[in-house]
Amino acid sequence: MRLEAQVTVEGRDVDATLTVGAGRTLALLGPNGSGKSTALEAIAGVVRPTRARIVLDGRELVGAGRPVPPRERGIVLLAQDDALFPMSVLDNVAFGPRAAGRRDEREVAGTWLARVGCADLAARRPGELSGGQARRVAIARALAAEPRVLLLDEPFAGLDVEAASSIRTMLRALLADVTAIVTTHDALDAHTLADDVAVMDRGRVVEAGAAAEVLTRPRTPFAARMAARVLVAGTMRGGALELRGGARVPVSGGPGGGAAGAVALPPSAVTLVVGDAPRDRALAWIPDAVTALEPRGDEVRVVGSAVTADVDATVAARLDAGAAVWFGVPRGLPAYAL
Amino acid sequence: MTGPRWLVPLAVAGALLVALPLVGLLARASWGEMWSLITATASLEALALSLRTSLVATALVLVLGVPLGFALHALQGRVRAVARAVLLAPLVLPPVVGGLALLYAFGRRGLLGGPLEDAGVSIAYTTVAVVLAQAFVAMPFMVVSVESALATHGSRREAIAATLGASRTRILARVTLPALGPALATGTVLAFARALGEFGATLTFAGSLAGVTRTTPLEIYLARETDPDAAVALSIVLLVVAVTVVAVAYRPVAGRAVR
Amino acid sequence: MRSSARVVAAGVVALALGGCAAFSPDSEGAPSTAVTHVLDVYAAASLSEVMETLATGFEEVLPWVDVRVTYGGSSDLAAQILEGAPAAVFASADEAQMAAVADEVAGEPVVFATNTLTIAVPEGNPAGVTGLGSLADDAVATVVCAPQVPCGAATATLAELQGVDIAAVSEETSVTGVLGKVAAGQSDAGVVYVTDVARAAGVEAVAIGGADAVVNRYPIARLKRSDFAEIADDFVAYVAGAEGRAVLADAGFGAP
Repeated sequence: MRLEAQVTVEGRDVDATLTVGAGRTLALLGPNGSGKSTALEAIAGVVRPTRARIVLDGRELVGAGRPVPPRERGIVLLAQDDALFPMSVLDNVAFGPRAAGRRDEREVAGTWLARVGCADLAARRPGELSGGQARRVAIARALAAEPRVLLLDEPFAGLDVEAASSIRTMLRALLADVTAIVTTHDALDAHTLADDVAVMDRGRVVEAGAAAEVLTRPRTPFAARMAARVLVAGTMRGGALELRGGARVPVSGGPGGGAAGAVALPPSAVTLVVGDAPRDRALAWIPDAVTALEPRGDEVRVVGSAVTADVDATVAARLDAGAAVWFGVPRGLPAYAL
Repeated sequence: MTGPRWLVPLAVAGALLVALPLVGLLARASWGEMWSLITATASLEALALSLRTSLVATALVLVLGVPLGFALHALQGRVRAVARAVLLAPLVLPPVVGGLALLYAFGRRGLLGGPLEDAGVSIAYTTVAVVLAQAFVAMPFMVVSVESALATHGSRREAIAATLGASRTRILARVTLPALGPALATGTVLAFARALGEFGATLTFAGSLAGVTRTTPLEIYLARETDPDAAVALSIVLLVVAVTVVAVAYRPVAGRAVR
Repeated sequence: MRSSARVVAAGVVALALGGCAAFSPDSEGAPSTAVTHVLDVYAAASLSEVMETLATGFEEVLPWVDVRVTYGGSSDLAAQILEGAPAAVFASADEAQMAAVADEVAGEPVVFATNTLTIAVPEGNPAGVTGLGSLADDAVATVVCAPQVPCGAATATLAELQGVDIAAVSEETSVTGVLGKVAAGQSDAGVVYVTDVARAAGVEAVAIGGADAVVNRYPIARLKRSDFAEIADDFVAYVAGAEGRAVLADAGFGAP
């Protein structure tokens, strides 16, 4: 089931084109408010797009003619709020099979409840479930409908770490053969679940490709940030990247001289020094000024105009915006063309 | 949460304004004869008629009022505002005006009543007329309950249900109506109470004949002339029903969250 | 004897409720209207037009008096009087209700008018009603007053006297209820008083032969709680006297 979708929702400034190969999982990666949910809802038919073209396995569901109604698309949306119905858990999961006219809907529902580890909750009402349980039931309900495409909107949002991690593991197994789109603002989800990644910014898809490619070799600072990477970009000159400020970062490989190239690394792998030029020759040093400080638990993300580093809070405590710093990047990282 | 102290005397005055008349009614009752007054033939006949007609009217309000609430919810902007104002008018309309309106619609020379009369179907002075009058005044309670419940309920669950392959009818029956349960219960109970208390429109439109159109409020109005004790006794019956109904109708809404 | 304090209080009430005459520009140069006495008259609804005329006539005789008439069903008014309503004069549409307030009445009530029953039919008399006998026909949708109210009691008495079994489709609580349904064409016939038909629009009368056998009497009386007994007595005398008689006769009321 290959899905190609182009949806425009003018009211929410969303204009996105997405493609998912048969049986593959696409992670739609973007910050909150970037239009990920709207794009999914438009594909599922939960919100009415201004314009759309949705093709599933060569069949145009939405396009020039009269759109196929949502109930006949076989595209199931797992909403962030679960949207469980006011009926028992078992009836919730049996809802899809029953709508499809199956006589064994209760058995099917029981099987799916067991698969998400909620067999013992069959008789409960939605109000009697914890957040994690409700999410599992919603997943079972979505899958029991045997969707041709499953759309999961932030499946781990609002869950505690433990529930999120066990559901993440469960979904990885369940989605193996399902054509699916998962929205997330967390690079880890994309790493764990997705074959492909599309990065979304302000309603537009800014970067798309195989997960390994997009997550490890982002092409824009935005995509790098979503992939939890630092993008060090410059021009290739004699086996090194020459940054705009003149600093040189020796790299391995990469495009030929004069071409635009980059290396990407996690912010935790960047070293930060305040004061005089460091002597340590193992690292390439890039002079910069602090533009923002983002506390992240024990660490602080120090954002410069070119590079970003995660440093210990005690180091960052002496810093203010505008402070002159040195970012140290390992030499010899594999470079790629931009 | 508590307001300034000067609210207290005003609140007390307000409470007295509502409670004192009810106390006055209770004070006038001849409690010793209460049972025999209520079980007198005329009283029982009126109570039985009231119960019967109010139940039928409530059923009618459910069958017609719920779809009406949905339709109203589906409308938009000014059209909805106008439609709502018209549909809810019986709520605030003086009963006698409602009676006149019914008369000119379903009466022997009314818009619909006239042709019906020619066809040999007479509504005037029948129990059907009582039910129509009751449904007329009770309908707004159901419409407003359903519409406001739909407004807060949103349509997300319905949209999700559609992606799961459900038809509109299935979504209505299995998702929407169960979620509206508390609102439907409130609407039903209030509509029943309103139907039971209907007086003006019935008097103006349906007439007053023992066992056919003389419901309890009409019997009270008539008994006042000759047998005030019986009027008070029946009034207390309706008062008890009213207080019970309000207690029942407002508890589940406050206590049960819809999920 | 009244205490002077009470007179003052009554005057203040009168000023507050009805009498702005003392301060209005119209009253300039009319010293006799410096104090307006309000005379509260409770009158049966069926008397509304005539009582208006009578009140105006009385005010012309005694310009410093403001006659304020409250209309209602006689039984409603009687109930209100028993509950302490500030009525000075009560004009009832039937003697039973006057009897009900006997404890409040000063002196003897005077019968000042009579009335007899007639049949009201919609304009054009669509059902072809010819007399009381027509009302026994199920095909004629007839409304009457309920036997519990005065007009209904009179109707029942007359029907019994004439041996007619009226097939009523509704027993109304008031004459207004009967007339309303007849005027709207909702019913083919209704039994009401002669004066009611005279007052109503959209209905005409079909006389009942022998209606004289049941005569309704209208008593009027001053109530003990009236503050200005002389004025109240004057009003009663005026209504029951020659001036009143003429006005009442015009409206179709019979002489006592």
